[in-house]
Amino acid sequence: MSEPSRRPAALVEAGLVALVGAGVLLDARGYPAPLIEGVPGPAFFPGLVALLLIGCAAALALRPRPRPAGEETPGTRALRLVGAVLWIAVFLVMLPLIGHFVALPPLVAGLMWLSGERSPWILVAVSVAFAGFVHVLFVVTLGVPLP
Amino acid sequence: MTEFAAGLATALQPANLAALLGGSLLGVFAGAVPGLSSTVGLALVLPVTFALEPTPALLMMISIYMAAEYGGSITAIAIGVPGSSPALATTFDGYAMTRRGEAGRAFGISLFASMSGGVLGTLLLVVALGPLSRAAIAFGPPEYFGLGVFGLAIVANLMGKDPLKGIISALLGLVAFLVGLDVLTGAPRLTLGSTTLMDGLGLVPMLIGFFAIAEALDSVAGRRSRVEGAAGMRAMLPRFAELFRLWRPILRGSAIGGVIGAIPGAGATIASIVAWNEERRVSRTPERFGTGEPAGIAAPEAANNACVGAAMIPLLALGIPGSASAAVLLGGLTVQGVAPGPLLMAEQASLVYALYAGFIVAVVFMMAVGRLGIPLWVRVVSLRPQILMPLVVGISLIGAFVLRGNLADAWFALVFGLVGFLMLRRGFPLAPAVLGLILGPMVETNYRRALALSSGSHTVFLESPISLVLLVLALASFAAPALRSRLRSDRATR
Repeated sequence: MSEPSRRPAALVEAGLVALVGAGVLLDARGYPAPLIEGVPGPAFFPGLVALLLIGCAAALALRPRPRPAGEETPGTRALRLVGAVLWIAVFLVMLPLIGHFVALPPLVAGLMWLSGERSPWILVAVSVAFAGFVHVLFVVTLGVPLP
Repeated sequence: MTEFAAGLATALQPANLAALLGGSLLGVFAGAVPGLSSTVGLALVLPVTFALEPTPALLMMISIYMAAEYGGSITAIAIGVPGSSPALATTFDGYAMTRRGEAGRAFGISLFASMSGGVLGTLLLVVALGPLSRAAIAFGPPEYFGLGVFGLAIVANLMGKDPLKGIISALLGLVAFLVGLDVLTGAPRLTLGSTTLMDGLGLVPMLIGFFAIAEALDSVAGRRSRVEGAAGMRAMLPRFAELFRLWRPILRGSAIGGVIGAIPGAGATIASIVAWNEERRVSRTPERFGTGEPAGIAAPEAANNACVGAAMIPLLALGIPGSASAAVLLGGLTVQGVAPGPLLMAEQASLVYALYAGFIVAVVFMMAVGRLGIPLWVRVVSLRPQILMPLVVGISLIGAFVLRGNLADAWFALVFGLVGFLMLRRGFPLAPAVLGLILGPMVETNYRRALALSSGSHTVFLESPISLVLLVLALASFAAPALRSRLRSDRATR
């Protein structure tokens, strides 16, 4: 049996986990000292969590990992994913500027399109109906002020 | 008994029935929409109750509280997104049943268990108002620390196939809870100098991000398929015999919910996760949990509804709200001129008995609204993911905003969604991270408080019998899965 290969992706994820741990540790250095001697202060728990994270990251990096059989995400799927995240971000930026009633239909229609829905009727009807539903429910019925 | 009959007669008056029905409808809705919750539902209706008489006002509020605990399970089962945090444990088996084409069965089990838990929690309230309220205030920092550690030990059963990644996920959840101001000293931690981060990241944005947005991104990536055979699910509602067979998980879940719900600050989320874990622990087939085991729905749902009645124990007997929802209820009671505390029963016995009876009627309305809604939830399940998931994202982002009226929460949800998606892709389970965020504050704050009270001596955790028992149980719970798998492999090699 051949030596199991260690995938670079596993090293990257271990590195990211270690980075989070190191960041927490670094931040914790600036916390105030304990108020009572012998009683842990605000830096104790973050330090403990950070050290555990770094330890787990080391274990993750060092353990032998066989190459998983799962397929890789094709480029177009990755692009759709990035598109979906950016589309939600655009919605959150525009929401306070143009209001929920105008901002919601493009959000929903865009995500539906990215998910594979191509019928223009469904895209328009569902997204507009959804914005109306949200408005009636939150603003009219419950009196919740939405942007 | 005569007092209870009089209370029931009051609850059955038309105006009070209307308040209970309205509360049930709003409660189911508030529970089902990710981002909203019983607390938000109660806060929304609070101004409306100012115009009502005390009895219908309070009955409306308790029916919202009760129905919202059930409502959270609807989206948990339908789309794997907990409508509110107490429904987190229901997603483990509820959504798995939906993926198997058994959504109707899962909805039926959840409704029956919620109803049973609601009734048993109310009975506990009636019977144990005095003694349990005294026991609840016996919980100090060492006991809360023990409870938090016991809850965290449940991570051992949520780690999936890769324990190391499960532990890392829980630690990342703990890091997320650290963001904000330190409760004891007010020192900012991991805020990067931002005032927005001083309020913390919050549980709701994490739930929405991990379970709604990460799932939507999964759908965009084309990895989520439509639930097949959804049209036939209506015929698959559970039979009464099947529901009756679940009496043990329901009783255990209700007992756990009754005890944890009565402890101020512990809450329905912890109760339902502990109930799920205990059910898995006592089961002869623990490996089935997380794959669509009916007991994995029944126990947490009974627990979170039993918490409603139990949370009223410290509220009514001592004036201490046991949860955020109970705090809003306390506000409602105060506005209506009702002063909870040891003298409540002596001064306003008729109102208290009307509330007891109101709980039972609220459970009946919750059952009716829930049962009528099942065909609708099943239709939602059968929508194509490319239509369903964008709608879930839209309503979840609005829900995240509504909770605190803060757009930053919607941004946090997006970030959590992206992180959750990447974690899922790399095989990191998400539930331990959520558990870390929920239990981190309880563990850290009470650990430091206990040590401050004992001048830094760790024996304080062993001197309290409750804390000691909880810590031993935590150790057993954490070690149990490893020991079980060791025993199994030993048997297999023999």
